[in-house]
Amino acid sequence: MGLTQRLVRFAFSCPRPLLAVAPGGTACRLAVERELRALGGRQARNAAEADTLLVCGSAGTELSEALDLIWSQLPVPKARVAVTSPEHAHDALAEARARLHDIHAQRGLPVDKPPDTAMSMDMNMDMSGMDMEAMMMGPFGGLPVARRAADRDGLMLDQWQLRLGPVLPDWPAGLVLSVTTQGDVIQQAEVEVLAAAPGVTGPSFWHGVHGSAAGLDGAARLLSLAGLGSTAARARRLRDAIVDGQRPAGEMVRAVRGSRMLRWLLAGVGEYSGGDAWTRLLGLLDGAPRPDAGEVLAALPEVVTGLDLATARLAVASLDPDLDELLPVRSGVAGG
Amino acid sequence: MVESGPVWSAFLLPVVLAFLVAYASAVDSGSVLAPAREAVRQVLRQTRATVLPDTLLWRLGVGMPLVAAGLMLVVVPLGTWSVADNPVGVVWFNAADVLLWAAVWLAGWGANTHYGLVGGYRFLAQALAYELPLMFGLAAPALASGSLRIGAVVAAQHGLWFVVWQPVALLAYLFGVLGFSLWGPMSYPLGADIAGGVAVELAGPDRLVWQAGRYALLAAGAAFAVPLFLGGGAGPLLPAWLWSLVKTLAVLTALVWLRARVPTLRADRLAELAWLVLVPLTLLQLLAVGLVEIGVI
Repeated sequence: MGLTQRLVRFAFSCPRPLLAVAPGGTACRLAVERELRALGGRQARNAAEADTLLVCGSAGTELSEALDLIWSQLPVPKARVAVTSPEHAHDALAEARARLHDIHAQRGLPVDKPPDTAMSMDMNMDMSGMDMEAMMMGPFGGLPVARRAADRDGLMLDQWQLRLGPVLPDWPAGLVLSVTTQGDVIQQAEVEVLAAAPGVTGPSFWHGVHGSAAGLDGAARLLSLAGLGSTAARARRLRDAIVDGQRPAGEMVRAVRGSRMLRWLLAGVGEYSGGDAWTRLLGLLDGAPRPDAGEVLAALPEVVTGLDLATARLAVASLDPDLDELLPVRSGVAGG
Repeated sequence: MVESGPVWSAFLLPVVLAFLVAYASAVDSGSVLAPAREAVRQVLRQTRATVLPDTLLWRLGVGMPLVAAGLMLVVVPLGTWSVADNPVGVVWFNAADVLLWAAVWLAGWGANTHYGLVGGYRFLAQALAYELPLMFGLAAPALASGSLRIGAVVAAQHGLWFVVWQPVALLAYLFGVLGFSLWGPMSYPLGADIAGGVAVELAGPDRLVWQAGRYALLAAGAAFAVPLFLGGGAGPLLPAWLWSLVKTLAVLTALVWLRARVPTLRADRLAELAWLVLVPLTLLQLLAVGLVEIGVI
């Protein structure tokens, strides 16, 4: 075994996956998170950090396009695996690891390069004959120049178009939020729900499970976004214990309720129907009944407009819409 | 008591820094092999290329934290020797940490991505909050010892360490260290909600240099707290340099441990906390130190 092979085995002993959760892939995601915890690994926060693109569930067309783009942007060495059922999680991670160790295959992968920008410099020279519309489409590598619009104080600021989702850590699966931001303040938002792959049906995974497990899952995402990684990990362990059938005690609620700093940070964030992120977090941990996903999605643009990206993410995580509820249910099947 | 070392001691500096970085990384991931594993992993990976980045400024921004940490360590004594015990050591440290204002913003802006730019501006908002408490925190030991030279600050702690009667200054200083290392509660510019913020497009050797820079800043900040507040190399039994090292590692462990256990402070809340609570408290601390110096207390 050569030196490079030895080094690769040492360095990539545990894959660091970027999780892409397809609609209906909740069970697979839970299995993958469990496996990863057992291996002592952690998830990546973005494509640059990740060496594996791990798809949980079956991806539809839109999601597949997004995944292909992300796959081309992952730095080499990289592996791509799909987990279509929870039992395959362990094997999928082992397969990812084996692919990462396979130097010959990695050397054969195409290397991603940004588009050639040399041509764009010539367009700069002859601007006199162009109309305003054409000028909007770049001299900057073909990218459109940012448009300007009045912000909440009447200043003309640049506007950006951002898409939050579909592949984003600690984000509800299948949700895409197209936002127009000025700076990091959201001025407009539009909700899109990804179409599920054919054959993926409801009901949601959480239907057959004790109520507080779903809440703990959402709370873990919110806590992770708030920076409390260790508390989020505890919430996930508790969630897995409940899914397995145990009924652990509710000391998590007491621990979080006592955190005055967290309360100060979440108070007043994302006000919706009388509650804010803090009250919703306590509700999630308690296993309180959650509002209907359709209602939440309809109200989401209004909740999020005017918030900056950080508070918007916290608001969405605290609302925690379960988009699997919107999946069509196969008729004649009892309890999925 | 603290003297400048010979010229060759400058070559020891990267060794000490590498050791501290490896220690911090090992404590952070809970495994001794983790630093080596992460280093090899990043060296073997491909770097990212984005559309129309400002490559020079981007790479400059990514590399500067490590350089700033090295500059900070130049004035920190290990026992009774430091690489250069210059007459304005305290201000030298502050100047090195101000370099980060440029570094982090350039690292975020240079990549030409949304999240990077948002992260860069988040850092500026955060830096406006922690910088004044940090400066007042640094001023207190200087005021108490009547000199900006680190050797004089260490000598003035013969008998009573500054941490005992200037705890607010130490807290404000550690707050500043967390702030410029983008660590724990102050990791807002690197937030998971913006997919890593400033670090969103860093992969391969870039990422290694950036991560090492963050650990190095934590280590340099922890190391600087020792001569400033914890009596330098003073202590029974063990030689001075070993005491310095032990104290540094203790402070560093405490700082690293904070990472996933304290919620991340968003800039708007952080500004409230810093300007309404910390700045008045540090000013009161300076007043107390001043009164002690002129003999009123």
